[in-house]
Amino acid sequence: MNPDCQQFLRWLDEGRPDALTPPLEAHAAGCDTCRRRLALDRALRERLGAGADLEGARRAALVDRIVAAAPAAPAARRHRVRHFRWAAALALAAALVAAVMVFWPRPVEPTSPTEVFGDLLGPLADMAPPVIAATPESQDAPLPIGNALSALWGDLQGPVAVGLNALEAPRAAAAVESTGRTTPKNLTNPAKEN
Amino acid sequence: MSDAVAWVVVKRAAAGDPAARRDLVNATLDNLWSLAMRLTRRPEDADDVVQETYARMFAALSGLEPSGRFEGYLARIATNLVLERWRRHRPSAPIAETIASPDAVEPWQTVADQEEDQRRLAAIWAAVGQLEPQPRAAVLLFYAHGESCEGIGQILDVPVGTIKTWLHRARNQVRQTAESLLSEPAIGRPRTGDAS
Repeated sequence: MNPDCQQFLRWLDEGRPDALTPPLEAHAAGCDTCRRRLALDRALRERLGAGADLEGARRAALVDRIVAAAPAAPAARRHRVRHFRWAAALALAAALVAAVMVFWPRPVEPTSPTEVFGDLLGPLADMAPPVIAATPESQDAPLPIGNALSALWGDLQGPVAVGLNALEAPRAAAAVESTGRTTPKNLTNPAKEN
Repeated sequence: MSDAVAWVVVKRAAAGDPAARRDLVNATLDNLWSLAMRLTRRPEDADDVVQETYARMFAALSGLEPSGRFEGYLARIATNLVLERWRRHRPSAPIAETIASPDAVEPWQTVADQEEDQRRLAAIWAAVGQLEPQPRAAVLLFYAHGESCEGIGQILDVPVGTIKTWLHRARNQVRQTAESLLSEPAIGRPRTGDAS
């Protein structure tokens, strides 16, 4: 392809095959490739573009139909109304979704590992030691540490009383020596006194 | 109507002036209908496409910015409508009907010439009908409607290089499909009656 061919094809690509300049016309006459391309372009234009004129009667009727179908009011307002409707519908849908999310009762979620992984572990879950799961009722009961402290205090009450008495014994002996009484009042045997 | 004048009329029409709307239709209808007719090849379909094009244009009238060719804007709407039709109904029925169109017959042709022309036309339309919708639209806009590659690129929203590629492939396809009928001497020779 020589420069003349490129110029010729560029001319055809611009869509003006019927307005060839004399140099390009001369080139087409001598170049087989460009002549075939020119013939094809002209054939396509001639045949594909034929018969596309609008007749008078058809035209008048068409104009009337188009103008009659045109909206009477400016279109922008209707667009705004349409957009507002869309926005209102979207806002309503969003409010509904939010309400459902807030008020929908939530299922109690498993808290212990055996509950959480029970489905995954399968038979192994049965072999695991029983775990006391926290249920809504058990959450209201006192904590286990409180129970343990109460039991501990019950066990210690006896020894503490004995210890306190042991501490009080020397003081009671001193009081006997000073007053002549054999036993402090609080340690006297009521049977002997009677 | 120049583009500057067209945009002024568009502004009046957008304000609700009925006379401006009629002026706008009158100024642009012929070219738009020719485009629709060349793409659809049926007057009824061309009417439908043109009506729908104006309906869409009027619906968007107040939002139009006065830039570029107003007729290019209409051509873009119309071409997209035709592309939608082609995608819904493939292969394109109108092309087959066009083959027998009497519009393509010249009065001075002999019966043999007419038959040969009809066969050539059928071959061309068969080749064009095999193209994908967008390349087919590009071929028809370029060869039938006389649109430039740049104009087609704006209408189809495709780079100019792509348009040229489509046209190149379409020409090759037309050559291959209709090679026997579109042999160079037959196309290159003057028609009967043109020799004067």
